Amino acid sequence: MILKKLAQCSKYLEFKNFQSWPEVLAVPCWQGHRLTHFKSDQAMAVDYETHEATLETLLFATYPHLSFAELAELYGAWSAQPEIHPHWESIFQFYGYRFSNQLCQTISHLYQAPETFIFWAHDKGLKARDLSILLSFDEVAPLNTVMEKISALQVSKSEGVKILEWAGELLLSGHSLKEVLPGEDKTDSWLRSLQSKRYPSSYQQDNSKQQTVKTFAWPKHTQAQWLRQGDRTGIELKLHVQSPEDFAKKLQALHRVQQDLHECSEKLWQF
Amino acid sequence: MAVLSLAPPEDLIAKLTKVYIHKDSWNSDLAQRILNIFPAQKIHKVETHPQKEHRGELSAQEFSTSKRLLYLEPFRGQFFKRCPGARPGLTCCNYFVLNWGQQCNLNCSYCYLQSFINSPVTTLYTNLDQALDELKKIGQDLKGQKLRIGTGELVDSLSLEPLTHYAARCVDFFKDYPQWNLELKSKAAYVDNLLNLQHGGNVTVSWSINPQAVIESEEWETASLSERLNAAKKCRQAGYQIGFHIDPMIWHPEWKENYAQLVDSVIQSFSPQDGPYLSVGGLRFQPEQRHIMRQRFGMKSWAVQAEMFPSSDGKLRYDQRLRSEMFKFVIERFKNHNSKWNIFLCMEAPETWLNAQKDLPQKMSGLKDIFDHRLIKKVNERIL
Repeated sequence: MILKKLAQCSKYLEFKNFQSWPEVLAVPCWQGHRLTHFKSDQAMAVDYETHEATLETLLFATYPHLSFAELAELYGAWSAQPEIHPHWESIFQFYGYRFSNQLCQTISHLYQAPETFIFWAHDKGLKARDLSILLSFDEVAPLNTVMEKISALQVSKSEGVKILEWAGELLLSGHSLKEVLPGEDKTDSWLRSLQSKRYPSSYQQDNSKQQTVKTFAWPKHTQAQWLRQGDRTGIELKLHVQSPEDFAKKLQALHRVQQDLHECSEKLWQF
Repeated sequence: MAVLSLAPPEDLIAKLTKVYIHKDSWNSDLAQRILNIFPAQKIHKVETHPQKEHRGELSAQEFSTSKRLLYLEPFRGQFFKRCPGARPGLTCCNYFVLNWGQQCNLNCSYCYLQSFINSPVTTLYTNLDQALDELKKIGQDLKGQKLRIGTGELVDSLSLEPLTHYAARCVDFFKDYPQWNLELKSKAAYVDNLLNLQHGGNVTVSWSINPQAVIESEEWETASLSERLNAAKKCRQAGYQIGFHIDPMIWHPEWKENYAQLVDSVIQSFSPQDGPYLSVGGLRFQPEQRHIMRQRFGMKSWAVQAEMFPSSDGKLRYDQRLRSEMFKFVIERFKNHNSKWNIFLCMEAPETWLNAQKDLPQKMSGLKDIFDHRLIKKVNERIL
């Protein structure tokens, strides 16, 4: 372990990460390679020149936590460095992943994604499973615009994962990019538009049933809607009851709706 | 036991690119047969698992490759297990499974093994005798009970029969247990081994069937519908009971016409007297399986492009009303032909039973016995 001026460590094991190394500490280096402070020479370096520390142990000490997106950056950058031979199995294991070809492929695909998306994936804590759709593409380029839009709209993790998967599947099914991009910059309407194309029959059925339910003579202060819960659908009813008399009155009114339900039986209760 | 030593089909041998034999299995009957069948350059004697370095989940490519690599080793656990349908929330048909291997050489887009198997080879266990010994022990107490034992959970019961002769050996074993029923379940047509065997009349050879259009789109490397039905006719001729599983039903634009034709093909050649029951089920798979399906079969596959929703057991399924309609369509077509067809729904919730059948299986004549949960409790006490 030798204390040096940072400028003397001129080889960079650079990878994009979203963390900052405390300025009061000397910069960790491994055999002349910097593990942090890639843009500046203004610090002292501790170079672990000999075999007293492995590259992996130094990495873990410098970066005790890496998000999946940062791990993708690390893998992409370090795999291209011919001078080092990281033990990927232990690196992945340290950061909570089981090494496999499947995982490496996901990581390689994410590494090719637009920078803004990688930051979004880091910020939202996306994991390998959330990005499985990428593996259906040889290259992620066809998805670039979708990924940029996801990060630009700052959608939530669950919405973004859904959008990415549905948009990816629609592109693979032959839809054009224009068809899968949002008409306006609103996440809700983008999701609805994608859903209507990815699940056309059920989307149309649910919408038309919702319209039918709206036409029924529901008592006042009652909210009724056609609702999908997984593979099941039905009417969700919310009643606000103010007194026993009010309850009786609403029940009576609901009896009239029963007639509507019978009349629309085929429309409502069959797929 | 008089098993015909027919030469295995050449395409079956050609598709298996390597055969690894563990040293502990080298002298087994199966290994000896394989050594006679396969060219020497395909055979590799190994002391450890051939892909022991492999870690974690299989990639789509690795899963596909695993169907081409055969590995023979002894099984070092318990062979006799319950069917995965036996979970809370599902109406289960009391079915027990005997696995003589792991992975299937056929290639169906919806196959649940894609979310289940993480071994990069197709394994066949060489100690079937041990499995039959386990059954013998169970038989000491339960010989007189009605049990159904199937072999088609992790392997197809017949797709490798020309190599293994395992189905034939099980048929022979079951002669001594006339109260038990062995179910061989397949999408292959390799039945010649079974045709000249003496059996106890307690073996159901069953086929998972689908319209030819679905077979061509979703069930790669399997026998055609007519090959499956012809194999079934041969087995009936040889005195076996015949079963059909219209499972998984797969929605596609012409589903009604195609499933109507399928039912008609069955009822033209078979009657309820040919087999104890017929099962119907819908497309279903674990949510995470959709990714490997998409990678391996693309969006043209009807199973991949299906509109699937999470159901109460966590699997993705069609909308419940749609599946009820599909089941009802098939069931009514059978019943209109002959009300004696015993049809049950596989791995379905009670509500779907009621929508499609008007009653739960425990109350239906012909299905009461196989859904008798008191008997299952007894067997579980024995094996768990």
